[in-house]
Amino acid sequence: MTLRTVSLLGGPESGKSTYLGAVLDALLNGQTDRISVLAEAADNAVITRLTEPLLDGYYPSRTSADQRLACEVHLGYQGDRGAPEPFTLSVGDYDGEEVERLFDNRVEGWSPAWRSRAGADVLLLAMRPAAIVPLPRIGRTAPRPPSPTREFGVDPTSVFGPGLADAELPERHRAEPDEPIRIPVITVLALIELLQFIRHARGLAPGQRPRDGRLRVGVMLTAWDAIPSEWQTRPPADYLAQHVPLLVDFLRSNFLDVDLMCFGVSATGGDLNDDEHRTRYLNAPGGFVVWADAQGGVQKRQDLALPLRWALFGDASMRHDP
Amino acid sequence: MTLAPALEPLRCSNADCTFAEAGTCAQAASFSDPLTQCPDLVRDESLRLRPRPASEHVPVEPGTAPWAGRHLTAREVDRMMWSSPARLLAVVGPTDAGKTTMLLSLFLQLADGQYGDFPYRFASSRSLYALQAMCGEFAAWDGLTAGQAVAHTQKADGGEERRFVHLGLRPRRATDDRHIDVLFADIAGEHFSAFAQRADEAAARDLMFLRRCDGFVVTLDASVLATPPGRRRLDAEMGSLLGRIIDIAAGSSEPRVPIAVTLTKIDAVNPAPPSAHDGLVAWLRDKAPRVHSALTRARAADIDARVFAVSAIPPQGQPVRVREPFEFLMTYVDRRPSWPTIMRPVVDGPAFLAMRRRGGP
Repeated sequence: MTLRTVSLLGGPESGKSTYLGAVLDALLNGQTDRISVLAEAADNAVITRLTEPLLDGYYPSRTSADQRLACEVHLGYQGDRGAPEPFTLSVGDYDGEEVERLFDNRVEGWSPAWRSRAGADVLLLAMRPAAIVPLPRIGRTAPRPPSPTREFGVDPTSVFGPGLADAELPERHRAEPDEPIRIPVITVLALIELLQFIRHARGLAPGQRPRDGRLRVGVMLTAWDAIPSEWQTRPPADYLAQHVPLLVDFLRSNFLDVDLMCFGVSATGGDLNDDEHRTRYLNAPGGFVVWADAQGGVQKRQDLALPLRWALFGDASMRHDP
Repeated sequence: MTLAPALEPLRCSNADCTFAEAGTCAQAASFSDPLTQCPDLVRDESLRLRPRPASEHVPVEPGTAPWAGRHLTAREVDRMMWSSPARLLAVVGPTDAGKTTMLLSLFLQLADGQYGDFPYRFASSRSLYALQAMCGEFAAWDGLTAGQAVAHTQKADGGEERRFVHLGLRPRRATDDRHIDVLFADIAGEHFSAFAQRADEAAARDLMFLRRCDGFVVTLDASVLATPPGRRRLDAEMGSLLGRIIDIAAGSSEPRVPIAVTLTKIDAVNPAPPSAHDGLVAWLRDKAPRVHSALTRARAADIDARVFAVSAIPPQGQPVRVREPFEFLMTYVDRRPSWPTIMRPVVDGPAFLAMRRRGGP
């Protein structure tokens, strides 16, 4: 059976464990399209550890520094025709602070575990939107609030046609002269450095893009339900381009557009710390995924495995979504 | 692990390397046997090491990152320039002229997607940790304390200085798919002050990289030039320094290496100097006659020397025109050869056909 490995990358509190727990739960419950469980995993301990808290309506506990969880699940992917293609999904979880330690500690940070993750088939970047927004630097001499976000009107399809979703991201708006300078947060820089290390370990020179389909990178903006309302109806890629242009520039400079996709993910559909939502979740567990289709329209599905499916099987796997 | 006592006098000039102390080479990816291969290791000649049999190989810990992420050393720059056609730009100026702040400001503008007319976007960096450290210092600066938003670049007392910042840039034009390595020299202003005084052997050794530069940003603190007490002293020093840079540029092949003379901290100048090149040249003629005279010499030597006025980190709001000097230099250093004119035979009606029938003219 083909082994397909996924590296889930993300800083601390980025929602990796919650997503992993929720997607495993959804797979086991048969709530995913095209991907289904074919056989029971040999070792269920990690799956149980990640999914059990969700069964009670709680978030999985934070992965501690000494914990490295890995699980293998036997799945099948239903293509357009024929029998499901069997594969074993290997995915792991770890303490998100490892990413920042890797950035700070160059002597011990690039551990064998990281080298192993560098060889994964696909990369999924998990980021909590609130944690990646660069903070404006406001000194005591300039006590002013950040300017309100303005709309911008770039239509990617008018330039590139409807071929690729996210093919041309809108650039960040031109800052007004009196807007404060914004400083990228360390999590973003640490993630970029980690991606550079991974590319280096895979023998890719700076700027050299892997061949089409060789290394897909899915960016998951987690806790999408908590995003400000004006962004709920816009593509997650727009949010990323507007708030983290450095990461977007890096990704677009080092990967093919067809191998990049941005998703808004809400693993639990809302905040489980909110009793009302928790009750709702216990009655009908599930979350949702938001992405932009080829025409730039925002799509929303309950299938939490969608980012995984796209990363593993590419655009073709989303042909009928919607 | 600990090394055998005989190895203890070993020292590595790479600040991230703990090979001498713990046996972990910072460049394990490059050197399978750092002891024999790494040029950064300094050996104490007074203590002769016994020859090492092959069986006594010093294992390298597997945790070392591919690169340190800090400022690059001259050796690392050499390696990069061998492996790619990297462009080297020097930011030149005395202490407190705002050299590091300009680099940080450029990075922050790119990081925030504020490209303006700058035709490149961020693609990679081997100095990300150094840039993050600068961002951290800047974030911690209260904006009130006189002095610098980022720490003053220190002159190293011994060992090799880490003095280059790397940015990999990708042209924003969709049809241009290159990755361009740009190295920015960011070294302590004391070196340049010494160089302005005397171009002796020590200065030549310290600033050897200047002869390999593809462009210069010469920074002058406009707030000092605008006030009488310090004006003449700074003008004298900068006139001399700019003169030396012009001498270097004049020795380069055609087209000559360009120079962006950059007036920094213009937010502190009242009334503000004009923004256009000609107006700034006139401003310099009034405030800094020696610098102006050097500029005249640059023109005579066929060197494109432009004057810019910037405010890299103003007290309020966005940086002012900080991208312009770099944009100007990049038009030179990233100049691509134009395609040769394709020669096409001119069809000349019956005469041409007659020639073809004859089989030649």
